[in-house]
Formats: sequence, structure tokens, C-alpha cells
Amino acid sequence: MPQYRGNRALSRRRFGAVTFGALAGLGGAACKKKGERSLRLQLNWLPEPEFGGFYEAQRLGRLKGVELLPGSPGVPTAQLVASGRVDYAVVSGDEVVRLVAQGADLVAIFASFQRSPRGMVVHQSSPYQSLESLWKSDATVGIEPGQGYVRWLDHQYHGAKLKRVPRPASLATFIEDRSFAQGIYVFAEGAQLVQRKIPVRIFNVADSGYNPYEVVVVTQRVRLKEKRGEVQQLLKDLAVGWGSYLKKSEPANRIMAKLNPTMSVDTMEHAAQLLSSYVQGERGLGEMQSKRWQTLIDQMRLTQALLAPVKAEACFAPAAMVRSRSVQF
Amino acid sequence: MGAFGMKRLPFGIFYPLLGLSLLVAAWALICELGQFPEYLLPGPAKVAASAFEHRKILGAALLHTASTALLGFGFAAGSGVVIGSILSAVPWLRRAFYPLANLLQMVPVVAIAPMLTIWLGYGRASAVACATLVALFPVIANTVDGLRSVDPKLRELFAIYGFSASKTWLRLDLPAAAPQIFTGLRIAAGLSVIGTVVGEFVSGYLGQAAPIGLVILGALRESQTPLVFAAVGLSALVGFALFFAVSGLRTLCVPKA
Repeated sequence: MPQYRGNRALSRRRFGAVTFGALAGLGGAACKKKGERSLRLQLNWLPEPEFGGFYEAQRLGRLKGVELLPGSPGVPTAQLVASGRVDYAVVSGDEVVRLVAQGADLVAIFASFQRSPRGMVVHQSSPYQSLESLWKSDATVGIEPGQGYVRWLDHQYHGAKLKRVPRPASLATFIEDRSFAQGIYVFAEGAQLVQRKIPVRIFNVADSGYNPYEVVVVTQRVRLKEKRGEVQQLLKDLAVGWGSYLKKSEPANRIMAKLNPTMSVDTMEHAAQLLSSYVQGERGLGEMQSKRWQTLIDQMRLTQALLAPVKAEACFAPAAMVRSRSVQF
Repeated sequence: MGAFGMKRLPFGIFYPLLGLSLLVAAWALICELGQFPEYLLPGPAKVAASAFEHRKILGAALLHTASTALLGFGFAAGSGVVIGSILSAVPWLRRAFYPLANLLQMVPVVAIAPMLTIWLGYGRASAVACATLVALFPVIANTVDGLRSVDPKLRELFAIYGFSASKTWLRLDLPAAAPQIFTGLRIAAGLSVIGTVVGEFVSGYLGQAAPIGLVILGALRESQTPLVFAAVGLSALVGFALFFAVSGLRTLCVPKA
């Protein structure tokens, strides 16, 4: 019995020490954060070339005081910004439209890509010569449930016979099954397939007419109003980062490969070469046009992905307006 | 009749219903006080409205997921009791494989589910396999523990009366171990639904008859949070139904001490 009491007393002391330690640690962390709180920019995927400009900006000493938070599959980046959990996040254009329609305080301020990098890949031996022929077939396609481009392709090509399954996390199924088609980011999985010397045919979804700003940085509109200088600096830093990454991608790729060891520097280098034409457009890096947003909204209305009307201007802030001191949001 | 007519309700369902009502009331109150936007935390009324609006999709999803979970649970229950009985009867097998059976609960199912899809292909088979893998260990563990706690003197008695090993298993071991086996089955009931939904995330077919896992994924992607809640609620309902079915079976099969 005494031994039992002793053990119990010991475990109580241990419990007390552990609890105290944990609380002290949490308190310390909280105090530290209070003192030197950095801005948080939440990415919506693992560090890969689609964020090359972000990591390059950081490498160049830009994005001071901004913490890049790597994402993971399913991380609700738009909701994190709308609820104020993070200051900025990377979101897809259709997510912005959907949440703005629901009254979320969100605004897109920077578009990483001027052309949507979404694509569908099939084996070269497959009979499909175009996105239309694939979509009208009875092939099995791996797609992400709820994606706007799927609704659009259904609207355009009536894919009633397609067998749809969730997009696999890896390319293993695609490589094994020669009749399988899969949704990809042209320069991410596309680069991996080319590097493995697998003969494939890639169809750009943008060619079907669905070409939203696929990767945009968002923040709360209230932040744009109250911290204009901070937002202006962020836009400048991101544009510098992307500009530098397009010239020389290897240093940033090395940083990203350390953070995401599942993708080699070689693959990232290959992807970086492919993505150049998606980042650059008619206008400056990161800039967006009202008519592109309006087209997206119209397409979402047409495919019933969006039931309530939204104005394009409610979804994004043109860079010129952000830069201007006279424009009020 | 007891207070509030409680005794007339089957399986003492009054208190769980009371708990559920209080929980829903608290949820509604939090939403009302917090004025949260729908895409962050929808109230119960919004979720119910969304469930009604999408009743066809949810109905098909419920049928699909419930039947898959039932199959997974059935495989886990059947094979778990058989494996547990073998491990309990053969000491060297138990020493060799029982620790390995622990692996079943340590391997992250989200990592295994894509592999199952690669091996078994898309469709129900992968989701059933996923549910079986997740639900198997508690059945094995409880069967082994239950069978090992059978009084050895009773076994000796059965041997003296000339009962064969299989008859002893059927007439002595199983009834004696039944309370613990049912405990394992009740744990497995909930786990089989979790395994099914995770399996569906990667192996289900999309479309009008998509399973609950894919309804959740699609609704998440489309920021339809009330529909996410409705689908999650349905999967919980499947778990509850299985749990109560096992509990009911236990009441019928295991005499009260």
C-alpha cells in the first residue's frame, strides 16, 4: 500500500511538472508571438514550383516578417483567411467567387498564373486526341470532386459516359493503367511524367474556354483598407520573387526540395521551365483583369456552381488600385 | 411506467436522445450568439435545410456507405473472431502473430487506402478492405482476451466428458468470451464506418450515386459547409446504427450476470 501511495504521489508530481512545463512553454510561445508576430501566408499545397516566386522572394530577403506556411491536401485556405486565422493565403479563383457570394470578407490581390495550369493527361497510346474526345468517351478519369473545371467540361462536352473517380495522390495508377486519364497541373505531374519518359498526351483545360486565375493570393478586404502599405509591399515582393524565379529557379528549388523531399530538385527544375509561359501574360506579374473574373463568374453561373450573383469587382483588387493612394476600398 | 415513460423506450434510448437534443440546442445557441457565417459554422437549421435540398444525393450516398460499412464490419467480425480463436488456441502462433496484429491499428489508414486502390482497383472492394483493416484489430484483441479468460477448470471438465476441441470452442469458449467479443464488435462498428469513408475518399466513384466520403470531399471543395455537416452527420448515423445493432444483438445473446 505505501508503495502504491508513493507511486501515485510520484505520478502526481510528474503530472504536475509536465503540466507546468507545457503551460510554461505555451505561455512562452504565446508571449514570443505577441512580441514579434509575423504575418502568415498559408499555401494550399506542399512547397513546389507553383510557389517558386514565393520562396524566391523570401530567399532574396523580401517578404520580411512573412511566414510561408506550407499547405497539405484539403487545407481550407480561403476559410482560414476569411476567419482571420491567417493574414494571406493561396486560393483558387473559383473558391474566391464562391465564398464572396456567401458573404466572406475575401479579396484576391495577386495571381501567380495568367493561364490556368490545369490539364488532363492520357497515355499516348490512348485513342483520345482531344479533351472533347476524352470527355465524350467512357474512360475512367481521376478528378478532384467539386472542381469547377469538371462542371465546365460536362457543360461543354456532356461527359455522361465518363467513369469518374477521385484523383489519386500519386501517378502510380495512371502509370499502371494505360486506359486511365487523370487531372493534373501541367507543370507539376506533367514534369514528373516527362522526366520518367512516359509517353503521354496532355490537354490544357484552358483551351476549352475555362481559364480562371487558378492560383491567387487573397486577404481580407478590411486588411486592404487598413494596411494598404503592407499589401503594396507584399505585391511588390511577390512580383520580384516571380521575376527572379523565372530567370533562375534553382536556388529556390533547392530550398523547396528541402521542405518537400518527395520532389527532387531535378523535377522542380523541369517544372520551372514548363511554368514560365503560365506565369507571364500580357500584363505585369500577378496582375488580374476584371473581364477574366467576370467570365469565370458567368461560367460558374452557367454550370450552376454559383447560384447567387457576384460582381467581379467584389472578388479582386486590381494591382493599379492597390498601388494608388487615392482609391478607397 | 417509469418517469417520463423511459422504460418503454428500447435500449434505454431516452438519455442518448436527451443528450443529442441538448447538443443540438447548444450548437444552435452558439451559432445564434456567435453569428458565424454559414461557410464557417452553419446552424442545425441550415444543415437540415441543406440535407433536405440534397436528399437524393444523400440518400444514395447513405445506402452506398452503409452497405459498404456493413460488409467491412461483417468481414472484420467474422475473420476477427476466427483469427482471435486460432491465436488463442495455438500459443506459438499467438506469440508470433499477436504483436504483429497490433500493426493493424498502428498503420495510418489514410496512407494505406491509396495502396488498396492500386491493388484492388476503384469501387467498393477497396473501401470494404479499408473498413475491414481498420475494424479488425479490436475484434481480434477482444476475442483473444475473452477466450484466454475462460476458466481452465471448465475446459478440463469438458475434456473429461469427451468434448472435442470444436465442440468445446462452440459450447464453452465462445459463450464465455461473448461479452468481451461483443465489446470488440462495438468498437469495430464505429471504426468500420471511419474506414469506409476514408476508403471512399480515394476509391469511390463520383456521380449521382457517390458515397458519403466523396459527397464530403465535393462539398468541401465547393465551400458548401452545411452539406459537409449533413454528410458527416449521415456517416455518424451509420456508425450509430451499427453500434446499436451490435448492442441489441449482445442483449439477445449474452445473458445478464
